[in-house]
Amino acid sequence: MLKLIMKDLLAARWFLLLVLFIGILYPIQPFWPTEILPFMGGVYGFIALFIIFFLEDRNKTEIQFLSMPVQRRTIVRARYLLGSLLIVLGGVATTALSIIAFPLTESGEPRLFLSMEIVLAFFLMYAFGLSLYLGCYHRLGLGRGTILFVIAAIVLITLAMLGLKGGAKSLSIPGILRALRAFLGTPVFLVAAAAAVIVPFAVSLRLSTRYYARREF
Amino acid sequence: MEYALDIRNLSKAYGGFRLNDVSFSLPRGYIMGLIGPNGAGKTTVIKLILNLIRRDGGEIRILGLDNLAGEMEIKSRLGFVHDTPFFYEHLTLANVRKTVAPFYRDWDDGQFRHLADEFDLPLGKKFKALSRGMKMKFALAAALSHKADLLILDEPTSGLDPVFRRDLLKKLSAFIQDEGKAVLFSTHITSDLERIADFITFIRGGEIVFSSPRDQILGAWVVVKGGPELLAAEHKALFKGIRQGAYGVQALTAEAGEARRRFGREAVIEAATLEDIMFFMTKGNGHA
Repeated sequence: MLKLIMKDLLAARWFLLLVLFIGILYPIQPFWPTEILPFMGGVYGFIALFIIFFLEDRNKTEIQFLSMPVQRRTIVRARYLLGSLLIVLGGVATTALSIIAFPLTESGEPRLFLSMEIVLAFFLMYAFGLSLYLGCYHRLGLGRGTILFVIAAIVLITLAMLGLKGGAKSLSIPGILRALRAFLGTPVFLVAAAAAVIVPFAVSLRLSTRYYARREF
Repeated sequence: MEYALDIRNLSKAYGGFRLNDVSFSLPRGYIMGLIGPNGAGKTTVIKLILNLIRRDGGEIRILGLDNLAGEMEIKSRLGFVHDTPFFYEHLTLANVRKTVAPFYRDWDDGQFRHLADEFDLPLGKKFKALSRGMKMKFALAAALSHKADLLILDEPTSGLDPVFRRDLLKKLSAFIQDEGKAVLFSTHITSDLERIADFITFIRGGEIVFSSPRDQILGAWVVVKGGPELLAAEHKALFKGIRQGAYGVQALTAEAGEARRRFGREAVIEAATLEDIMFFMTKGNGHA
């Protein structure tokens, strides 16, 4: 599995550096709010994963590697692991960048990038997104899979925003998580959160393995 | 006899094409040529061997193992060259090697560098900058660098210059000197097979027409060239294909002795080449 990941990183290394460079530029641009910077790290992870899949698709290297001693299920697992790594690395890197670039709010308070609720919101959101994307990718291929994922993501984000707007003005995902934590207690809350991350991921991995085993080249 | 490749009753319906009850065997220590017109099913057979597509029925045993159950072990001991090499085009050859080598437990970097030198492969150059011939050479170098016991080559000589083609054929002959090894070689350039193949398998319309030792085929198949008397009804069953032209009739038969007995003095009888056999069997019932 690690050999496949190393192969992907080697093939895409210059493109990934470009994504990293764009990520570093984010804090100095004046148009987007700095509060969402840590969440942008996940988006960069998705972009990096898409680039890796695009290079694979354009060069048809799957045919080459599936003719070599590599199992299909290993390829699928390596993609899930690589996607998770890229998103986590993106999140960690942009969080670090946020702490360095914007340590204090305008009123001089420390920013709460690292609160448990924010970190959990990040993991919940991206684990679900990655599960959805990789499921679509393995079922429909790069082009149609990505289009379906983007449409589904837009619909889900819109519905979530409408739902939040319909509630109290102060309602937010971290706010909801904070309330849930208070209601369930921290240990139960953490177990529930872990299950909410792991279950969609495991279901998606299982379905992707099945789809990919059936695929013909 | 121990087979490097043993295919039994293989079938596959694939995008409007049907591979039907394909069976043939390649013993260790030999080279088999897989010939047939475009769309005959050669690449489909190779894809089935490599598990790139799933078979509908039948059995494929490679180096004594089932190709599904023993996939990893088989692929460790199998070298292949696809009709188009599928590597990362934007990487240098040295980096492409880095994407391939770690997956083979018996990768021999010394052998790879030796072949790269021998084939004049510029390891610092990007893969996309190479000609088709050079790309095929790189794929061959990779296929020959991990101590494979079976080589599967899909049109490896197309795009190669005649000098390198001859070198390659020599290399394949040397490869099977170790009697545990074997080569399956699909090609349109049948003259290459006449030089080195021990067995010929001819596939047409998804079915095997014959799979026999080369010498047996070239000894038995002849082209009979004569006048319209060849078209007589009593001879029709003798011929596998007939071409009628302005200067006479040519017919292909697998019964050289019978053809000589019937037409010894009335017709010219010549040994058929593999190209003749492929041509007559594919286009052999019409006007030239």
